[in-house]
This record gives sequence, C-alpha cells and structure tokens, in this order.
Amino acid sequence: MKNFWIYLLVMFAVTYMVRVLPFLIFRKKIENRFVRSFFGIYSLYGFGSYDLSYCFLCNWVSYYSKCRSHCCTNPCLSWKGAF
Amino acid sequence: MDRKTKAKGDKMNEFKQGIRDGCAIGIGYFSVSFTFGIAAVASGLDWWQALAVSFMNLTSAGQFAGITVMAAAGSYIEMAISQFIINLRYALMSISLSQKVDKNFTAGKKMVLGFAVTDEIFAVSMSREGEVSSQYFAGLTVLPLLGWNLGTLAGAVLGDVLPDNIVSALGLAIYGMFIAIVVPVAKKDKHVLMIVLLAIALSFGLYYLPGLNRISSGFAIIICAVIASAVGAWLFPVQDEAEEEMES
Repeated sequence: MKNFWIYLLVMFAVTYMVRVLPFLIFRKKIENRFVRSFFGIYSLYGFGSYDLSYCFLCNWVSYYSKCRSHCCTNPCLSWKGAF
Repeated sequence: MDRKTKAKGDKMNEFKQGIRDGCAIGIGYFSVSFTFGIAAVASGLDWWQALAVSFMNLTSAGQFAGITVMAAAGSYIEMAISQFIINLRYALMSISLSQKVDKNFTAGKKMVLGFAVTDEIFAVSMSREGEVSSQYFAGLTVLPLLGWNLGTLAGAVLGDVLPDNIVSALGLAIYGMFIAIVVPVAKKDKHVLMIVLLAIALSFGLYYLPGLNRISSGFAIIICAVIASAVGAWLFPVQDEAEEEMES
C-alpha cells in the first residue's frame, strides 16, 4: 500500500467537495432532460455499483469462492421478495 | 414565555425530532459499517485506519471502493476518480437539498452539515414536510454518524475475534443490502431492469474479456456506472412534469 494518509486525504477531499460545493453553489433547477435522466438513473446505480461491479456474478467468485451458491440464491430470493 | 425562549425551545424540538428520525438509519449503518470494518481489516488496514476512513468519509460504496484501491496500491488519481464517480450522486442530492433548507441554514452550517449528506439522510430530509432546518438536519445526523463509526470500530476489532464462518456470513450482509436495493426497483420498472442487465453484461465483459480484464476494479466501476447510466438516460429519459400531466 502507498501512503495511507494521502489516500485518506484524497478520499476525504473528493467526497467532501462533491457533497458540500453543490450545497453551497447550486440553487437553480436543472432543466436539461438528459442530465436529469442520467443522474436519476445514476442515483440508483451509483449506490448499487458496488454490488454490480464487485460481487454480482464476477469478483464475488474470487473473493467468496466458498459461498458461490449465494451468488445465485440471493438474487433469486430477493426477486421473490425475501428481503 | 417570551419569544426568545420559545424560539430556543422550537429549535431544541427540531433537533430532538431529527435524532428520533435518524434512529433507524443509525441502526442500519451500524450493521453495514460492521461489515466495512471487517472488510477493511481483511484488506490489510489496521483497526484505527478503518475507523479513520469511516470518520472522514461516511459513505458506504465509496469506502468499499476506497479500501479496494488501497489494497491494490492503485494510483491517487484512480482513488480520486473512483470516489468522484461513485459519490457523484451526492452532488445531486446536495442540489436538491439546497432548495429544501430554510434561510437560517447558512453557508457555514452547510459546510459542516453538508458532510453528512448520504442516501438515507437525504431521503429522510426530503420526505419531511416543509423546509428543513439546520437543527433538524443536525439531529438527523447524530445517530447515523455514531452508528457508522461504532459499527466500523466493532467490525474492525471483532472481525479478528469472531469465528471465520460468522465473519463470512456478516460479510455477505452487505451484498444482501445492495441486492435488496436494486432488485425490487428492477422488478417494478423494466427500464431499470434493462439498465441493470446492461451493467451486469458490462461488468462481465470487463472481468472476463482478454485485454479488458486488465482494467483495474476501481475503473471498472466507473466505466460500468457511466456507460449504463448514459445509455439509460438516452433510451429512457425522465418525463417532464407537463408530459406526465398530459398522460394522466
């Protein structure tokens, strides 16, 4: 690992600015339809990106090779309304 | 009771209401950050480093991606871009929230409290009737902040103590939560389902296809998120309010 504190500082600075700057600056409603659609989907996908990219069928197998069955059962159970 | 005392009482009530409304989020955050603590230590961080990451960020997906970049000794640029892309949704939440807060929510307060804009805190704030005061928002953040940090600490410390099978089972909770968020929406809306399937296909491609599988997992998230969202926005744009009214 490189310098932990620099990683932490980068994480903090980016995350903080992404949250606070728009809070301070933006006031007008976004009119552009594509931009609004993009962020509308993004707000769902951004949160779900971790599971889709990291565990949902792909890296799951390498990280949790012993739990392969969950890869299939969890989506199936949730589809049936188990969660 | 004079006006000043009454105003002070109102502010305190707002704060207390915020704490009450944040209780459920705090409990949920404890369990999620518990798995983060475990994952962080498993990826090579010390317990205090895991706690520092949670204390400074308060973001689930961003932190999980962050420790992955750290463990892979990724570049600082990769860290910055992955955090930016994954947390970009907060920008939109902050814009929406800025329209909803009252006039006493000053710039200084925004700079402090804006740190705690998360999916759940945002959702609860936006569902509140009328304007959101800084006292209410501050109250709302107390238990989630506490839950997030205590959960991380507990996970990081107890992750070593608990038997492997329990740690493994707790680690799966995070996937259950993410799936629980995506699947019900995908089930209800076929457009979302198509975007989710596209994202899965992209994720597959980036993991298995020769050449593409050299792309680091941090950038894979970015690529999947941006392409799937852009295609979704192009194919299924949101309806304008006027169009919705005409259709109904």
